[in-house]
This record gives sequence, structure tokens and C-alpha cells, in this order.
Amino acid sequence: MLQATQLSKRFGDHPALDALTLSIAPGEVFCLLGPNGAGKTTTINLFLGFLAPTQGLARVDGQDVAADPDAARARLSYLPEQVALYPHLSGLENLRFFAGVSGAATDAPTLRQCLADAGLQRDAFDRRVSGYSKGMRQKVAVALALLRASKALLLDEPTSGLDPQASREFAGLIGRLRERGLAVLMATHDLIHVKDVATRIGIMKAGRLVTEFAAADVSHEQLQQAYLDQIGGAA
Amino acid sequence: MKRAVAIAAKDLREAAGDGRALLAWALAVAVLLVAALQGWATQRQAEAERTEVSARVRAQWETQGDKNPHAGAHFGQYVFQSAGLAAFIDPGVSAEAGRAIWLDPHRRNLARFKPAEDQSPAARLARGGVDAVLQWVLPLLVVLLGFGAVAGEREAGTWRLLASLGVTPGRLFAGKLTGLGLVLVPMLAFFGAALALAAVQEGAGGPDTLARIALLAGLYTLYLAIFGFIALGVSARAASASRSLALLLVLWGLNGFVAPRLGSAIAEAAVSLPSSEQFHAAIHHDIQHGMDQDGDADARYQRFLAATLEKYRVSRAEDLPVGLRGLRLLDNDGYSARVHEKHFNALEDRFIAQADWQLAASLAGPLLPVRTLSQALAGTDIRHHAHFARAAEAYRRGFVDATSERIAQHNAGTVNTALADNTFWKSLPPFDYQPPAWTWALAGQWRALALLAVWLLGAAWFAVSGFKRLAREV
Repeated sequence: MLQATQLSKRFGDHPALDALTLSIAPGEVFCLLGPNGAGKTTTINLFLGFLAPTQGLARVDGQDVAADPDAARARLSYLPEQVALYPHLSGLENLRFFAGVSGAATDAPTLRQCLADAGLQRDAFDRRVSGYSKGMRQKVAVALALLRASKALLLDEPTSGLDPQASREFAGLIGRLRERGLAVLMATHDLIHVKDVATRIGIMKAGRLVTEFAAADVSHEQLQQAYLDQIGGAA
Repeated sequence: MKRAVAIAAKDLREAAGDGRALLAWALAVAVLLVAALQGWATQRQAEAERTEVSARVRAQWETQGDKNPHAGAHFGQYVFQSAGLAAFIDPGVSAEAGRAIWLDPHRRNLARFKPAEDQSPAARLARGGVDAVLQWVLPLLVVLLGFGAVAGEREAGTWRLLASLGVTPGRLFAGKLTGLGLVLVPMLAFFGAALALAAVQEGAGGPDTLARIALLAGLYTLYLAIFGFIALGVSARAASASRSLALLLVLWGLNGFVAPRLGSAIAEAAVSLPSSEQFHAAIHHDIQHGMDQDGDADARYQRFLAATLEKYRVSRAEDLPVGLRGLRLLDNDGYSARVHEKHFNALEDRFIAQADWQLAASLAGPLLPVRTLSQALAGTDIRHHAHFARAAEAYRRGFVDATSERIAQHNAGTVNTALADNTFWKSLPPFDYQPPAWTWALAGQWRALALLAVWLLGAAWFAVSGFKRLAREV
């Protein structure tokens, strides 16, 4: 569903992403681990079409992102680190607006159902989002992904700043999306919770995917050691 | 288009949810409403007074009884420039230039009854008509509603989310512009009401007034569009919403406060005006000493007398078959009128040149060309004032010459005893001023029109290029 083939991006002389090749199938959650500047967000930006690749291809459901960004974006949803919503509008109004501009359904029953499916409490639907926690905002964004029937989901540091309870809830939410067949690419620093959500894990360093493995094949300790081996070696 | 409407509707809901934006909008609407009602009431009162005083002055003229025609001419008349319905939208220079002229023989007068002279400094400061609301308050509302249009989205991170949903900078621009267009609603409602009033109010001016009000609506729509483009362009470029607001307030101040003062300073430096004493002394000098090679008053009289005696083939004034006094008045007043025309035309040219020079300060903002066109369309600029003054002068010449001809025809030689009665006074037609059409009003304003077009295109380019950068800033 999400494919990168020799995907590269340079900013001047600096290689932000160097020949990334990966493929994420429907129902897979691929977590990219790495320090700041490793190329995780650049990868997401390339899949979103916010950046043009210097070399290589990014495809969403077979659609070349660089050739037709709109068509690619129509197939995926994006959750930034801080889900930005309009504070003077309610969760329902925010969802209706974002659904409207993306061409999705905006009827109230559907919107409410998607919010409920995303795990937002019903009494929060009509409250202004200025009082929402980060987790609640994420649920609105997930509801949008459900509403748009996205085939892929891009997540950028979604668990940073979440408390343990919220992190657990978030892992459950991603699990449900995976069960619905979404392909998920998630950039994260979160070594602790990554195994709770990922099916595959890749470690990036200086723009390169230096290693990848199935999440089920490693323990927490092995994951931490692998991370330190790769990243520590760079220090 | 659907997405643009969705963005505009969201902005409206956000503005409604944000008490500050709602308050600014409500205040602007209230100020416009108060200014409109006050302006309309003032215009109605001025028109009622003009009608009443004109009728009274005319009745006095027609019933002045038996008297020497020249003494009757010295009874004098006031003529008034009608304040058409468009004039309450923009009173222009009326307060400074005056709307009434006193007409009597031998001299052409400047307009009188200048409201600006009767106002206290405090009242002048507080003068905030519809024009002030349109030119200062509504652009400020555009600034207050538009500064965060893009900078706020980018700062909050919603622009990135919108971009991920396929919202292009072009669609965002269309949505934001549509949202800002809501500022036009109260303004267009006001112009709609003014058009309705002009259509139903008796004597409001007919199709020309309707055209002028419609064009004023178009002019101010363009003016606010310029501010909308600038607000969006700045917001798209600014690093933060607060910087966007600060910069837009500076631009608003430059446009509203610096440009007019700079324009005045440039105009005064480029074109000097004579003082009232200098102006009238120059006229007096030319009448007494003659223009060019005409000779002084005595020499001109001798030439006139010789030509008159020759024309009627007599050797003495006492033998003339017509009244010498009447012929001499015609000759003197004709010469005096030429002198006045020369000096008044030169003064008008200087006023108009100053008005044109003011436009040089348009670099600081679009207000000056807009104000110039607004006053022209409202019929209250210096050119309209000059048009009225020329019509009044032609009328003055007409009725003064008619009294002089009456003296010439009803007397003989140097006798001047024949009197005129009310029948004669009534036979002289009342002043019937026909203001120029709106096409005339715009014909002389190509500089202001060109500057407005430059501002509009420049502001649109500024906004569009600012939004194009957004594609690189997600």
C-alpha cells in the first residue's frame, strides 16, 4: 500500500533521506525509529507530497505521489505530532469541516459514528476542542481517517507527550485501524511503546534505514540494544 | 468552490466563536449604521433648508417692487448647490468649499456658508461620516479579521493538516477571500439601502444618482478588495499572526493617516495658492489698470464712449437714443467678468492641480485615489464645485446684464430714471443648476483610476504570490 523505492531527498549538500526502500502492506504498522534528523519526518513529507524527491519514488496504493499528489493524498490520512484543530469549534464541527474540504461525507450521523469509532467520548462531541487533551484531538483525526476510508495512515510522533493511559488507548486505536486493513507508517522516538503498536520496526540514522525487523521477533531489551547499537555507533 | 465556501463558513463560525472578532464586526456595523443615519438626516435637513431658503430668496427677488434695475440687481441673490443623495455618502470638500454663492453685480464671489468654518476643533475631530467609516473603519475590520487568515493556520498547524487533505494554496486563498468578503455584507447593505432611497425619494437625482451610488458601491468594494488582498498577502508571508497584525496595522496607518498628510504637503509644495487678500487685490488691480494692453479704467471708458457715440452717430452722450448708464454697466461688467474669469479659472486650475498632486502620495496607500474617485462620484469634489461656481457665474452675468440692458432700453442719453417693477423681476428666470453626469465626473480622473487599478493588481499579485509560497511551507 505504501511503497518507497530508492527514495532520496537532499537539501543542498545534506542528504535528508538516502535511497529508502520499503513496502508496507495493508494491515501492517511500520514504525520508524531514530533520533532527530534521521529522516523520519522527511519520509512522511515525501509520502504526503509536501516535498519532491530528489531521486526515487513514493507510491500510495500504486499512485506515484510526485506525479499526482492529490490522488495520493486522497488515499491516505495524516496525524501530526500535535493534531491542530480549531479551538472555537467543537470536535464534531472540526470533523465536519475537515471532512468537507476533503470531499468526504458530512452528515451528522456518519460524523458521530466515526467519532465514536475513534473512541471519543460522546459527551465531548459538541464541546469546543480548546478543552480537549492531545489524545482526544488524535481521536478526532483518526475519526477523519475512518470517515475518509483512508487506505494508509501516516503518523508523526503521535505518542510524544501522551500519559501512559493515553498511550495504551492510542495503541489500541492503532490496532483497530490495522484490523480494518489500513497500512500505517509511524515515525516515533518512543522505544517503550513502539512494540505495542508495530508489526515491523525500522531504525533510521542519517537518512538511511539501517535495519528493520518484525516487532514480534524482538524483545523490549533487544530492541533497545539494537537501537543503541545503531544510534550510539553514530555518536 | 465548494471547498472555498467550506473554508469561509468555518472562518465565520470561528469568528462567531471568538468574541473579539464578533465584537469588532458588530462595532464596525454599528458605526456604519450610525454614520449612515446621521449623514442621511443631515443631508435631508440641508436639502430642506436649501429648498426653503431658495424659495424665500426667490420670492424676495420677485417682489422687490419698483426700483432702478441696477439697484434691484444689487438686491442680490443666493444660489445653492444641491446636495444630491450621493453627497451624504461622501461630503467631499463641501464643508471647506461651501455650497452657496452670493451673486451681485460687478464682482464674482467665492462660495459662502462653509460648515468647516463654523465647527469647533473638537467637532472637526469628531466628524466621522459614512466616508470615514468606508475609508478607515472597514479596512481596519478587514485587517482585524484577516491578519490571522493564513499566519494563524500555519502557526496552529492546521495548514499542514489541510494540505494533507488536498487543500491547495489556491483553494485556501479562495476560501479566505470569500470569508473576508463578509466584511462587504454590511457595506453592500448600506449601498443597497441608499439605492432604494434614491429610487423612491422625490428629487433625489434620478438615474444619474443611482449610477453614482452604484459606482460608489463598486469603488469601495474594490478598495476593500485591495485591503483583503494585502491582509491575505501579509498573513501568508508573516512568520506569526502577531507579526502579521503589527505589519498590517502599520500599513493601515500609512494609508489612513500618513498618505493624506503627505499628499497635502506635496500638493502645497508643488502648487502655491494666493491668500484671499492677494487674490482680490490682483482682480482689483486688473480691473483698475487693465489686462495686457487694455489700458486703465479711464482709458477704457474713453474708448467705450467714443465707440458708442460713433455707433449711434451722435456727438454727445446726452443725444444717445439709449441709456448711457446701462451701456456703460454692460461694458464695465463685461470687462470685470473677463478679469474675474481669468483669476477664478487660474485659482480653480490651482485647486485642481493640488488635488492631482496629492495623488503623488498614493504610494503610501490606496486611500488617495479612492477618496478622489469617491468625492468625484458623490459630486462633492473640487471639480464639481468649480462646475457649480461657473454655472452660478453664468447666471449672475445673465441677470445683471438683463438689468443693465433694461436701463439702456428704457432710458435715453444720460438720464437714468426708468424703474423696473415686479413683472420685470419675475421675468428673469430662477437659477436652475444641472449638475454634470457621472461620466463627466470620471472623465477627468484617469490618474486616480489608473492608480486604483495599479493598487488592485499589485495587491492581488502580492496575495497570490504569497499563497504560492505556502506550497513550500507545509
